[in-house]
Amino acid sequence: MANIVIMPKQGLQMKEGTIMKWLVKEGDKAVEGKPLFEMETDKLTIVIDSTFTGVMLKIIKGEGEVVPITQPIAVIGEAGEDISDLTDELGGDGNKETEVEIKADDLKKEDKVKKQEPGTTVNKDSDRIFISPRAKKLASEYNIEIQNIQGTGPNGRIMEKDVVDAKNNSPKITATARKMADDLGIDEKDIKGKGRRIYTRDVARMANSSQDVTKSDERVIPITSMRKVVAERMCQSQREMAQTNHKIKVDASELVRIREANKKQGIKTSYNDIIVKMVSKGLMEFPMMNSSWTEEGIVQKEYVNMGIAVAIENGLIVPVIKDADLLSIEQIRDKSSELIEKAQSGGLESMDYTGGTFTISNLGMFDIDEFVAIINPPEAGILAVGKMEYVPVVKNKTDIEIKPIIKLTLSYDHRIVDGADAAKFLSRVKQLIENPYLAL
Amino acid sequence: MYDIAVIGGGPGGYTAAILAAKKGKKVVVIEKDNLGGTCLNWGCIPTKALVHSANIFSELKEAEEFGVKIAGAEIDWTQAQKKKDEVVFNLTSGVGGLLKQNKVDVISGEAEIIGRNKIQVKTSDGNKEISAEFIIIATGSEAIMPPIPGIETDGVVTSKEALSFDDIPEKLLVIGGGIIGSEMGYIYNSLGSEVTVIEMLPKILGNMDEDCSSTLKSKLEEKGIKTLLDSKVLSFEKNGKEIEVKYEKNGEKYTAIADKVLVSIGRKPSLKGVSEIGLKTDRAGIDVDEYLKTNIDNIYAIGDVTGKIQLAHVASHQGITAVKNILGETEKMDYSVVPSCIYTNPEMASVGLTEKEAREKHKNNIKVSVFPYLYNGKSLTIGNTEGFIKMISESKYNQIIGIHIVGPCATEMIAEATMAIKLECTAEEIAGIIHAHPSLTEAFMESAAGIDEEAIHAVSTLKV
Repeated sequence: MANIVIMPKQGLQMKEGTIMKWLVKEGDKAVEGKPLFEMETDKLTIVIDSTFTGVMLKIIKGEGEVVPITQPIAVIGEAGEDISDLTDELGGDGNKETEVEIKADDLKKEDKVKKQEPGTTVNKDSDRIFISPRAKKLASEYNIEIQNIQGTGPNGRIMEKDVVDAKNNSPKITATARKMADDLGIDEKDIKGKGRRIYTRDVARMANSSQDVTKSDERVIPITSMRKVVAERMCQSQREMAQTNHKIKVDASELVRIREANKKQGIKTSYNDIIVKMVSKGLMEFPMMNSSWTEEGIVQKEYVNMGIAVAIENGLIVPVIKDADLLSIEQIRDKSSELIEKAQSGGLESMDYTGGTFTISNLGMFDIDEFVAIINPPEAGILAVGKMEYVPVVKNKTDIEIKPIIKLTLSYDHRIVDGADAAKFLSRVKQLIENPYLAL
Repeated sequence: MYDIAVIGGGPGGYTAAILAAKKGKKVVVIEKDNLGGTCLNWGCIPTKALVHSANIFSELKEAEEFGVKIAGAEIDWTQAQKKKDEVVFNLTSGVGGLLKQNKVDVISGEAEIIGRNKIQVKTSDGNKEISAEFIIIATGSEAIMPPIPGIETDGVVTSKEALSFDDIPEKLLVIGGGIIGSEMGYIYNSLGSEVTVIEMLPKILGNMDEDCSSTLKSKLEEKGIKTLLDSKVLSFEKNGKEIEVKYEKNGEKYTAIADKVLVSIGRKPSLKGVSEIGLKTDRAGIDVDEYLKTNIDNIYAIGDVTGKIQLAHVASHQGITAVKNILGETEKMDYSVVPSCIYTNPEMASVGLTEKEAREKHKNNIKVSVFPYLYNGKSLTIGNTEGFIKMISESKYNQIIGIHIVGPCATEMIAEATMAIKLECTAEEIAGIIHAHPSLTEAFMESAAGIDEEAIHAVSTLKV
């Protein structure tokens, strides 16, 4: 004679329990007093022992199902015993109970129901998934995760129809493509087929785009050691420093004047050479901008080794003008053109590009108005110089003059330098560029 | 001004025209001969009509075994021809009707493309000029007649003429053991001709799967068809009513005597009327991209004239693809899954990779299952147990990559095979599909099951 296992009442307040795990599967032996299933109430998780000895003939309520107390959840009896009468009585696959459950759920979740649009509930985020037994069985048969099924029943309960819909709407995939996707560890759901069916070519395309880049319209460029150094230093810079920046406009009339004057004497000077001189002077006055953050402390340098960022083929290098603060504009010009030439011909020696204390990067020749440069570690700042442009400038509130203007952007390491100090330094640089004789 | 002008009314051309018309385009088809092209008039269809006559006649000889006595069965060649012509007439006029119903204009005449959008048509009442936004070239192909001395001899013919011999030749010599040669050889052999096939290569049906072509060769030889391989024809010469054919085999010269000689060594693209406008062509035919577009933007080419795969069903599909691309879709032509059929007895049909191709492509990581018809119940009931179904899968996923059938109904069974390969079926998937009993298709299922050594009605089908 078969016995019906019911959802036991554990404690006075308990109205329903969730079956977490069946410890005895259908066809296995259940022993009185031995663990039968794990369940969860709103208060506790508990292992329930069997009250019968026999063979588990039928599990009526599957794992994850919420069952009101005293409702049948399983049938235990003798092996091979015909329990069709019993299950008929219980309503076949449990449809009858489903009705009951729904009612119970309705009561419990009444306020929630009002907020939910019927038919749009996806069960993803809720802890509990409400699903009819028949739907659950079907879902496992179709191998569809119930989290992904849209429930259209009350409270977003997943009904049989929903599982069928989910199956029909899931992308069709050829048998070989499915095996291939499994093999490559690609989730079918991520694959986009061109038509309604996913073929191996779709899986292969997916694999290509996610795993290697040897597609015909892409090519792999080996990473050169210079690229590696640039990449590492740029990442280190962004990772370790608290970088921020200030911008300022500078009247470059004096730069133009000096350059023209030198030209008349047959001396070629670049604006950048003059800027190097002015910034070096500024750095000597604001030593915090000319320092490095180290574990021992902030190392201030009493000399300026000025780095000049130079674009070369497939990379970037920053040769350093040593003791720039001590050099005249002419000496800076000589040193700088020598270094740039070496950089472009690949003739730099390591001493030529190490030991910098600050860097100037000028993209004016590329018609760039202004830009923000990344600090070259372990320095504390970098000055980005934009192009010189003649623009109308309002003087004395009413007069308009045409002036050559350069935009400077100072990136600085806020760990070392605060905003106000950086601002003072930058305005000093502006002042020096606008009045170069101050530095000469 | 037409939206689309199609030159050639064969299976490629008329299919393209009808689809374009269904999509609301104004379409004209220009055909210099009969609608239906080579396939309907002088190829697939009339051959199959004659094959059917041959099949009935062959089967009558075996009828007695099944308790049917037929006395005095004989061939009425005139009637066979009449029936064949009737079938052809039915189908070609059917094509005409379809074109008319779809409001496609048909102009009878020879076309010449004279500009990007201009075609001149020589009709019986003078030259007509038509213009069209797009042009689809579907001019087909013609039999190659090699420059062998005496090729112009009376009685040395192409397949077109071989379908309408006045009498069944006593001795027929077939030059070229390809599909056309094999089918024609089979027809006339069944109808009583003494047939010899001369093939230059060391095997007949060179592109087909080796097991299949060698099986078919021995079956045809059993029926009395003589096959001369590695043999090169040197000359033809008329000698009274007969034709003397000189050929060379292994350096020795021989002479064969025939009433008729069929030359079936291949077909070349028909480029007449399309060669003057700067279209890019190569030896195979008009150069087209994957979308069937030629080097001229608004001109497409389909069918035999593109020299891809010379089959009517490929031409039709190319026609559909070309029209879709003209209509703004971007659909590539896929030639990887194309069934091909040989209508002899036994029949042969093939789709996907041959065993040799599969071994090369998958570096020998393949499984080959061969299920003989002999173990199939239905085959026994119809008294036709010759042949086998050969299924090839790659070993990694068990994906079916080639299916080759020799035996009864091969040309019908290949449809399931084509679908299986197109839909990337695995062996176990085919084996898991219930096939009706008793039917020949059970053999198909069993050959798939055999990939995993699970064929029920055979000890093992795996080829080692």
